[in-house]
Amino acid sequence: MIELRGVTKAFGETRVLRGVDLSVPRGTSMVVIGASGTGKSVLLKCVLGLVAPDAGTITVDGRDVRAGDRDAFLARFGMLFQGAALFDSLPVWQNVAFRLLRAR
Amino acid sequence: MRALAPLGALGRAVLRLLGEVGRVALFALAAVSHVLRPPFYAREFAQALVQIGWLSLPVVGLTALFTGGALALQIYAGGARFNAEAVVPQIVAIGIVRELGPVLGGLMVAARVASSIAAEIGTMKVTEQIDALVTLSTDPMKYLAAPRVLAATLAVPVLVAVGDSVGVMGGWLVGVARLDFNGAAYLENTVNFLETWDVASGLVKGAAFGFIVALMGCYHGMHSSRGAQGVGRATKQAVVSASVLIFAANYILTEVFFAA
Repeated sequence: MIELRGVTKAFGETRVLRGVDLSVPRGTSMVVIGASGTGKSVLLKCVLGLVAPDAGTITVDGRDVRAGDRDAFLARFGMLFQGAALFDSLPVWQNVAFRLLRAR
Repeated sequence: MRALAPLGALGRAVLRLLGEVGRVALFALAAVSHVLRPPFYAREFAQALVQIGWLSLPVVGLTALFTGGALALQIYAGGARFNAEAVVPQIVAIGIVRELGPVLGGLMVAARVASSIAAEIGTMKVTEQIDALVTLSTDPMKYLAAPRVLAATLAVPVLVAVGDSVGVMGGWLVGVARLDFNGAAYLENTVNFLETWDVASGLVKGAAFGFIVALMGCYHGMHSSRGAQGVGRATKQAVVSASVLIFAANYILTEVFFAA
């Protein structure tokens, strides 16, 4: 279960997220739709702990996403970035096997 | 109140500058701590060593060669004013080894390496590759910054040592070919005059300059703003800040080593 309570995030004067409350129960799919620049990517990055919210809490199965063993937490997620975010300095196979190579 | 506006602007500028200094200091501490703590990325370190050290050899060597030659001509011309032409080998050697070798080597590496690191990491930032690294449980500081900082800190002193040798030989070439010095006597005077600390102080400076160059490249790359313009700005800031910090560090280190 992913839970967001009162999540707020601003970049300078621009408030992107304003007190977002959201629950995503285990086994369900959710689609977030909105115009460009309305904070969809920021919301996702907050869930993964890539961006720290200014206020509010985000928990996954009751655990704060930015606390505890981050490696174990992130291993449970996959994220496809808008611009693909391929490591262009690495060959394709190293992109695919990045996590495996790192674990060696 | 309007009369106080310039003071307000000055205060904001000072606060911005202090904030930037603090962020760079924290970034430097984080980089050093990641250099010392596992995991270590040997492959990235080796690649950085080749990029920073090996591929900078030609530009550092050529710079040192021409500087040594020009220095010999200048010292000969200056020395002739009070019949001291004979000091060319000694002054070329000490000038190259203590000052010009490390500073010019550092500046050439700053131009070549700080820009390339900032552009590479900046592009990774704006294309979300750094976010992707984090989702793959890889700390960008450890994976991107630590190998480059360590490689530059180790490689630049070696570049400085090579630059010192080539610079002295540049002076020797001009001394023998243009100023009618005896080749063997020139080299003997150089070797006999230099002390261990002259060379070692230059190498220590080289290590400091290497650290500064990689640190500025990584810092500005990781703080690059969006778009091609953001990456371009980060690249420019990396080279400018690395160059200015090299001059500042050079003065401080010279003060520490030789002020007595």
